[in-house]
Amino acid sequence: MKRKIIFDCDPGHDDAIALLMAFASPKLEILAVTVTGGNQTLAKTLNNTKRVLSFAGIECLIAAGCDKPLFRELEIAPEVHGDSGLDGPILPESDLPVDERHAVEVMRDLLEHATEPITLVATGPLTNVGLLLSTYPHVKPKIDQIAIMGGSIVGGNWTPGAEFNILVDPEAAYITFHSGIHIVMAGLDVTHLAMVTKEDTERIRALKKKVPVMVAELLDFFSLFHHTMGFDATPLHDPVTIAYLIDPSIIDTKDYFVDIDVDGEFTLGATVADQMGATGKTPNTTVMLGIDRERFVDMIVDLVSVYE
Amino acid sequence: MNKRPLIIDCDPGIDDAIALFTAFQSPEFDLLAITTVAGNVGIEHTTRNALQLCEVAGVNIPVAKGAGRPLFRHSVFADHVHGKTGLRSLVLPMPSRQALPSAIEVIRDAILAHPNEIEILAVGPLTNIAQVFLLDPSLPPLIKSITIMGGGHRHGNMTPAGEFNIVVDPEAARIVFEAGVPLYMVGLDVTMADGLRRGEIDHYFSVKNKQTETIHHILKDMIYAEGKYYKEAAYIHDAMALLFMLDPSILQGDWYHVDLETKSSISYGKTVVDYYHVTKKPKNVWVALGLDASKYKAALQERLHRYQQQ
Repeated sequence: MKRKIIFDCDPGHDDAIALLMAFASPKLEILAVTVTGGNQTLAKTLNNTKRVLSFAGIECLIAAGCDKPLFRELEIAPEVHGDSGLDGPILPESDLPVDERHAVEVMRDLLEHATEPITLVATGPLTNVGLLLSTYPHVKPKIDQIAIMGGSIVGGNWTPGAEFNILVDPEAAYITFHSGIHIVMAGLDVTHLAMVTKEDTERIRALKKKVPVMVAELLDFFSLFHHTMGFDATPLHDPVTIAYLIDPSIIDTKDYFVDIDVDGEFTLGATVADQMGATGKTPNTTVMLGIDRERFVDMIVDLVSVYE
Repeated sequence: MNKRPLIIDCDPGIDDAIALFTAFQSPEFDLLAITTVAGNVGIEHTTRNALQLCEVAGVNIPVAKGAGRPLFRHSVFADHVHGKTGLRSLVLPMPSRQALPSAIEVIRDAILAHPNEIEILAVGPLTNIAQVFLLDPSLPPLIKSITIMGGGHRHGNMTPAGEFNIVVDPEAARIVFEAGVPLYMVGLDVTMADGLRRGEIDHYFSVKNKQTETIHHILKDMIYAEGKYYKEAAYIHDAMALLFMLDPSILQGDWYHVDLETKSSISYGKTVVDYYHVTKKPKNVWVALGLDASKYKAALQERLHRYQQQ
C-alpha cells in the first residue's frame, strides 16, 4: 500500500529534487503539494513549485499557504538558492492551476476526509504545519507522523545554534514538536552526510533526459553556495526526508525528546535534543544521524531516471 | 625550568578531589592556592573538603573560600552525584587549618604577582573568576590562560543543552567567556567520551597507604553508585582538564567562536559553539572535541601512582 503524503515545501533546489523523488516513487502517493515562504518569498516558491511540476509533467493539487512566519518577519536565503529561489536551470512558466483555498484549509479537508493515516512532509519552515495543528487540532489523529527537513542536534548553519528552517519560524516548530504527533527529523546531523559529489551530478546528467539534466543543473547551482561554506560536495538536505520514507534501512536514527528554543539570544530556533535523558521526557522525535551515502545517491539516480 | 604559576578554582566534589590529588603530584606547577566555590555542594562543604584533601595528601597549599552562590541565580547543587558532604561516602578528619576568607583577593593577588604567566584551572561554576573580572577589568589581560571543565558542544548533562558548571551560573560564565583571556574548554564532549571502568578501578593501586586508599575509595564510589546514577564508567571530568594542561596531546580540538546563552528558558547555560563558522566572529575558545582515551588514562594513573612511592 502506498504511503499517503501531503508535501509542504518552499522550493528551493533541494525541495525541487525531493518533490521529483517523491512523485517518482511507487511507495508514495502525494495528495497535495502545499507551499510556504522560506527559501524565497511565497510568490517565488509557489511559482517554482508549479514550474518544476510542469516541467516533469506532474499534475497534483497545489495550494499556497503562509507568506510569512506565524509571529516573525520572513527571512529568505537568496545566497543559497538565488534570486528566483531556484536559480540555475531554465524552467518555463507554468499554467498549472493553484487551489484557491489556503494551504491549511486544503490540508484540513484532506485530513478530515482521509480513511487512512496521512504523513505530513515538510521541507521548509513549519509555518503551514504549525498553523494547521494549532487551528485544527481535531485532524491530529489522522496524521501518522510528520517528516521534516530541519533542525540539528549539534550545531546550526544559519546561526551557531540553529538550522535555517527552524530558525525562520521557531514558534511554528514549537507547535509541531509539541503536537503529540511523532516527528521524524532529517536535520543537519544527517544531511551534512548526504553529500552529492560532482561525479554524482555527472552521473545524473549522463542520463541524457530532460528532467535528469535539469536536476543536474539544480545541483550545479546548489553546489556553489556550499563550496563557499567549505564543503567539497553538496549536502542534499530535503531529499533525505523522502529517502527515509522510501527506504528507512539506509538511514540510522535515534529517538530523543526534542524541544524547540523560542527565546534564546544565541540558541533561538535550536532543536534541543535530550541525548542524556536529563528531562525524563518520552521521546517525541526520531532523529536521523547517519546515512548510507552510496545508496542514497543510487536512489536519487533511480528515481529521477523515471522521468523523460 | 620555571614552574608554571597556577590557581585551581574548584567545588570539591568527587572528581575535583581526583583533580586535586593529581595536581599535588604535578611539580610542573607552582600551585599558589586553591579557591573554592559553591557548586557540586554548598560553599562550607567545598571549602572544608579542599582543606581535608590537602591534609590527606600532606600538602600545605593555601585554600581560600569563594562565592557561596551564583551571581544572579538561586543556588543549585549536585548532591545527588556528590553526596551531602560533596565526597559521597568518604569520611575524612576535620581539618586543622582554616581557609583564607577571600578567594577574590587570593586570585587577584596571584594575577598581580605573576602577570602574563598565571594560569587558572576552573572546574566549578565560574562565579569567583567573574567576580574578580567585574571588580577589576584590568586583570583579564594579565592572565596567560584559563582552562575550564565545563560546557559541551554536542550535549549537556544538567539539561539537554547545558552542562552543570555553566548552568549553575551562566551569567558568570558569559563574563569569563567574553573577557578576552585565552580560554580552553574541556567539556562533556571529551570528559564523557571515556572513563574508568570497574575492571580498571578494582585493582588501581598495588600499595596501600592513606592517600591511595582515599583515592581508591573515591574512585569506587564514583562507579558503584546505586540506582539512577549508576554509570558505565567513572567520568573524572575535572582531572581530565588538569591532565590536559600537563599534556595537551590527550585532547583534540580547535579554536571556535563560542557564545554563552543566558536568556533561553530551555538552553540557558549552553556553550554555543560556532562549529560551521557562520558568525565570522573572533575565535575566543579552544573547544576540546576528541579524547585520546588510552593516553588520558595512562597519564592519570602515572600521576596517582606516585602516591605509592610515599
